[in-house]
Amino acid sequence: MKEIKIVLGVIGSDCHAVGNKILDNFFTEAGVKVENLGVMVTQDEFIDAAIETGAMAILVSSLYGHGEIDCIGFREKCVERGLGNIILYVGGNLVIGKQSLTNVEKVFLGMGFDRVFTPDADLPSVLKMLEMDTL
Amino acid sequence: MDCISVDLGSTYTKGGLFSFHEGSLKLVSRATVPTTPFDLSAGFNICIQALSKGTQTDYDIPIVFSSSALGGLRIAALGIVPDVTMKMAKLTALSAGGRVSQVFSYKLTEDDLVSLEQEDPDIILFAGGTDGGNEDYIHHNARVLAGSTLKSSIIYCGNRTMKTEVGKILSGREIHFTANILPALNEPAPEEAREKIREIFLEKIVYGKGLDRIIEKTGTRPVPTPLGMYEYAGLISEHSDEWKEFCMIDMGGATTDFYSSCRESSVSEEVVIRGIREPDIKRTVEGDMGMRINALTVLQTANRFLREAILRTGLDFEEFECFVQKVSEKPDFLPSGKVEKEFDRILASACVSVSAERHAGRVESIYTSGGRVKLQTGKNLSGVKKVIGSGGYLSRINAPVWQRNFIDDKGWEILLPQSIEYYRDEKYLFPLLGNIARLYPDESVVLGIDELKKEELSGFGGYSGNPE
Repeated sequence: MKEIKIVLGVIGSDCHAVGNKILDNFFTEAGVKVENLGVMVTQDEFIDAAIETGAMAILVSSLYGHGEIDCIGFREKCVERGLGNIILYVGGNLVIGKQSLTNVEKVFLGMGFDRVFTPDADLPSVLKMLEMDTL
Repeated sequence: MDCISVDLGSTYTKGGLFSFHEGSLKLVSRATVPTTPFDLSAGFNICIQALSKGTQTDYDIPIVFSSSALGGLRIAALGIVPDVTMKMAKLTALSAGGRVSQVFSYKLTEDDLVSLEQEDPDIILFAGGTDGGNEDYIHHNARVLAGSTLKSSIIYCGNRTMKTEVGKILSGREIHFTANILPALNEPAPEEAREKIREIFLEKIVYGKGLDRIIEKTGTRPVPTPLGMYEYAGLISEHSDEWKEFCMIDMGGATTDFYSSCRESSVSEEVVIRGIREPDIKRTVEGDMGMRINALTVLQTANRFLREAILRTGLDFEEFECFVQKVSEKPDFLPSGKVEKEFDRILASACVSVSAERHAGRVESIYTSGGRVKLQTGKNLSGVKKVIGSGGYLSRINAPVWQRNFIDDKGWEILLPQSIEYYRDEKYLFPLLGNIARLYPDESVVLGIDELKKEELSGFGGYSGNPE
């Protein structure tokens, strides 16, 4: 099977590092090649890293509630920079307040993300989806 | 045991006779003669004769030499993303003592190729992709290079996976392979590529203009002067505990080279470092900051700084502009009289201040829901105290005024040294010691530090350039 290469990071002015480390460990142990950019990553830094590493997917985390504004235009920027077909996942506490998952999902899918996850997402099933999507 | 070190500069050929006795190195005599650009060996010979007079016959003692004549080693740097592999290629070329003539990112276009062919660099540093990373851009750029009329040496130092393919595409070209300068995003590895650049310089760049005759006579090969300085800076930090961290400014007629030796440390715990990690010994070259050939561009770039400085000294700005015009046409001009000397010092101050600002890292403060967070890019020089002034100008003049702006135009903090101890390489020994260091590494460091003259940083007129 082809090696899966991903770029991982926490977007915007968000410093939450714990979940990021957990994701890094999980995917690395699962045999995925992870380029982890850590916290406070800009859209351009995600894309720079994806270009250089030849990543197939970018996994964006956001914990602090401003995920929506940080992610606006992400897909468009990927298109502009020649990565139109890259797989984009987003997950975490993406918005502030109690909004239904379907609503949040709708917003982010509308922005061009391929999959949207809650903070309690089951990582082995995320991996399965990743394997499927990168086939 | 005596030995001679010579540095061929574009204006002057400098030499020094050194004696090595009972584990210590001493400077015996110094000589400076004008460089003879059409046959470098002529000036070299005069310099050797001046030094060896009355001791031994000319070429009996070991001679080591360096050269920055002929405009240095021109390197074009190719990468993919400007902030990632292109930046890394640029840093690598500079640390190898090269002059970065051009940089290219992403796909080479036909226009890029035309300008590359016009520039015809000595070396093309072909980087891009982490190991196992991007292949498309590499593939494209290799094909473009294959279709060119370029005669440059090509060093492939990109994605390891593409090595065989690049070799196939560029077969028949002079191509060298080294390890990837950026195997993973946060693991810079410029060493192999730097070594290869040096080998290529030794093998092929040194021919012509009489350098081959010097090689024949001395039996040694030159290094590019900035590479000698770079390695000497590394030796100083390795061999002296008090000189682990320092900055060194080498100012010439055309450029100002700024070196820093310090680990890339963050300003504090709450700081997030972003961007690629810069090397412990970093060199930047400001191609528009020169005391003679580029004096007019300094006048443009640092106009406000210069106006303020002239105002403080009570001198006349128009007169200063005439002075700048005059020196820019005469690379070997030496100031005479009090006013001209002060003008020269002000010009040098502008070069120092601007070059340092460009070399140092930045900190941006961001206010988040969780409080203030600082983002740092580049090197943090704020804890560095020692600063060495070398090169034809800084060796000759008293400490220049280093005006430090700690905030840049964007409101970001500039990580410049907070308090400075300034040392002048009064005898202009550093390029010579950079050569001698190949024979006597430890001793050359001891001598270099011993010969430095500590000076107070002063100001223009009554004004102190040091904010403390």
